[in-house]
Amino acid sequence: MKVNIDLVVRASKGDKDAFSDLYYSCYKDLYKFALYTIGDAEDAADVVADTFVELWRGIGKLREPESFCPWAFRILSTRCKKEISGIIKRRGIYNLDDLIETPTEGSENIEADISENASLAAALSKLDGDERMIVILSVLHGYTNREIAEMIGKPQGTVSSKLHRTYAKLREMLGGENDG
Amino acid sequence: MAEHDERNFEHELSEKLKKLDSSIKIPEIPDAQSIFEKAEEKKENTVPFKKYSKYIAAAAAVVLICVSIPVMADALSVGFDAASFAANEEREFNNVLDEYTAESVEQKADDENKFSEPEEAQMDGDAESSAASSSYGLDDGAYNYSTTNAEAARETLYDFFKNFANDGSPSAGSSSDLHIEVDDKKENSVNGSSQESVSGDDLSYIEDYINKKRSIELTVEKDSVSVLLRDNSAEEEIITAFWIEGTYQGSYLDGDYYVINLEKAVDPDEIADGHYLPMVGDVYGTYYISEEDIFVPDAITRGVIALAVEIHVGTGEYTIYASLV
Repeated sequence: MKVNIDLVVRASKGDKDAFSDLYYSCYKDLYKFALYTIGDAEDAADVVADTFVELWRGIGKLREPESFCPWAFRILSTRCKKEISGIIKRRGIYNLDDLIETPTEGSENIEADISENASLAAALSKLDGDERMIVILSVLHGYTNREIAEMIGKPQGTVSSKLHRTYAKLREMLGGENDG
Repeated sequence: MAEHDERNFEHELSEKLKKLDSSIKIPEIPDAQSIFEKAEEKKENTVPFKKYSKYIAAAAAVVLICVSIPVMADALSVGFDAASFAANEEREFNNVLDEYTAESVEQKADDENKFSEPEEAQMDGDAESSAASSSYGLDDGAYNYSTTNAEAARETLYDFFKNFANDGSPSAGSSSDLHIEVDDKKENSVNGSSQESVSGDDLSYIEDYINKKRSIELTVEKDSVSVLLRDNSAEEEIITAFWIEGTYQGSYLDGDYYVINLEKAVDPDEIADGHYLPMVGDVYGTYYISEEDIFVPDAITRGVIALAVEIHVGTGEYTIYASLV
């Protein structure tokens, strides 16, 4: 997730237009992160809305504008963890299947893509919330283990070992080309 | 070589994830104005504790003095140990103040706003207050706790299960006989033992502190129990979370294991149809307990499945034992 630092600076001074621009530019990334973590579209949207409320309320106190992304993910990951307990109580289950669009263009082999997406979604569903967060932040967003540790509030060593174990799990589930 | 393989796999995974990511449906983004409105609402519901903390402390002190003087006078007149009483009262009062001081509230806020400067200590009307009440949440449910010694409680529990085993149902009044030692419960050693009684409420919430590092949350509904085992040493990380179909009967700590007992009434037709298996759900999905996991005695006298869930409080691994009785 990349943000315009100038927007962060202006938003931190109370500029609503700047914060709105930040909101529209970050929404998709934060929504997808929440969706991967908790596996429910409605809950993910609620969690992201609550996160933006917190961001708006706290942005004036942000010490370094460059910290906006880690800060946003930190708030979002905390809220996702809380949401997981609510999902359990409501008997909700992790399900990305209905949330994946069927590829229509730009793909040579649509059936293979659908099958690959479904396998990956199923593999993600078998990970726990932390594992999903770590792998998404690392592989998809390209954050370092140190940055992820700050975002999800875990020691760096824990993040490294969890990431390593998650790779092993995914490799086993997806039957990677380099098995063994 | 292994490192090379891992890098290859990372690359492969990255490509697959990017493909999946581009296929995720994104709902219509709500108008940004809604965020400002929600923030405004939240602000209105917020109590600025720092501003009023002096008044609250002063009012509490006056009330405490008013209550303490006659009580202490009475206590002295009957030879009560007033010094220890006063010390106790003071300790309680300090605990209440600590809970609401600006510092402690700021500490909570700082947890989420680690990257921000602390400003005004505020307490959210909804989230924070519900968190505070749930941490002292024994009032939430309709559970009656009373103090008893652990040995007696164990015997009561033993009687409960003996009755249960003999006639397939808890004996009349046995619920009210099950007690829990509240003080022990909050910071109990994992080697301790505790049980709790249940009222007839459909939805009740129990929070059980096993020790300083672990807590169990049970939400009891008519036909199921949700279970959350948390690690409080980190940021309340959830170690195990699942729900299980059945009527809650009781729970207790047995060494390193937390045991939850449930019952599921089964219709004879359901048994005949083979559709009597209790359901379990967690973040990975919903499934039935397999038929092989249910002990079926030779003679079935009652249509009840007795379930016991044993959770290792360290690892969070759980096993469900079930028997048709």
